[in-house]
Amino acid sequence: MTKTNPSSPAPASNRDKARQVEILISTLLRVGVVTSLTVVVAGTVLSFFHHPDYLSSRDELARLTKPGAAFPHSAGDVFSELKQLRGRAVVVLGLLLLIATPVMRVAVSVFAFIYERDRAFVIITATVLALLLLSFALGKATG
Amino acid sequence: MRLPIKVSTATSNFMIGVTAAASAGVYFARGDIDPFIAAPVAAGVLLGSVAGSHLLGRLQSRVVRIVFVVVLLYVSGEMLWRGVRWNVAK
Repeated sequence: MTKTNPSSPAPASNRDKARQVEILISTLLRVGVVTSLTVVVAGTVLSFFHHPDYLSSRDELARLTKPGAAFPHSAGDVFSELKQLRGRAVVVLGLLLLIATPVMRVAVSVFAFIYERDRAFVIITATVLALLLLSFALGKATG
Repeated sequence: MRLPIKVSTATSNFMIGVTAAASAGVYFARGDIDPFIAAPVAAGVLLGSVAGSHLLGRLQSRVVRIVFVVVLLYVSGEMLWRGVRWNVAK
């Protein structure tokens, strides 16, 4: 055994696994946040680039955020507007990445707890993930 | 509260992050998230959280608490003022 503490190799390796998992999750959260921020800012810039009048006219700018404005909120709409490179679709893509980040975090945690062989937490985390996906499905169904 | 820091961060990650994601997804699917209102909010919150997490290690908790109270007072004052002004205008 090359372990530094041969009397208790099991807890040490568990701690190593937990450490690996923590680093993986922190990387995931970081990448998710930075990617979504980049995409959101790129979409906003693209939008102002397509409509320079937003910068010169207050009325035009107010039109951008007036209540009841239509914007894409289904996968099909977002995809078709993305192909036209519309700024708002790029912003929406960034926001979707931001919403998806904690969901991915839970999904990764399920596998992380399987890797750590922590059965109780596999069940708890899988339940959280299932409820999360269920709430998305129900939210869409009534919308 | 004598909760270990690991337990409390894990709980907050799971409960706050996950419940917020669930409601954000539902609002989005119903078309209630205006991208051009959400975009600057998201950018501000993300940059602020990065700055905040860097500052937190260097600030005394008393200072953090005082700044937090001042910010809350300002926000609540502004909300009150808007409410009063709105009723007067009507």
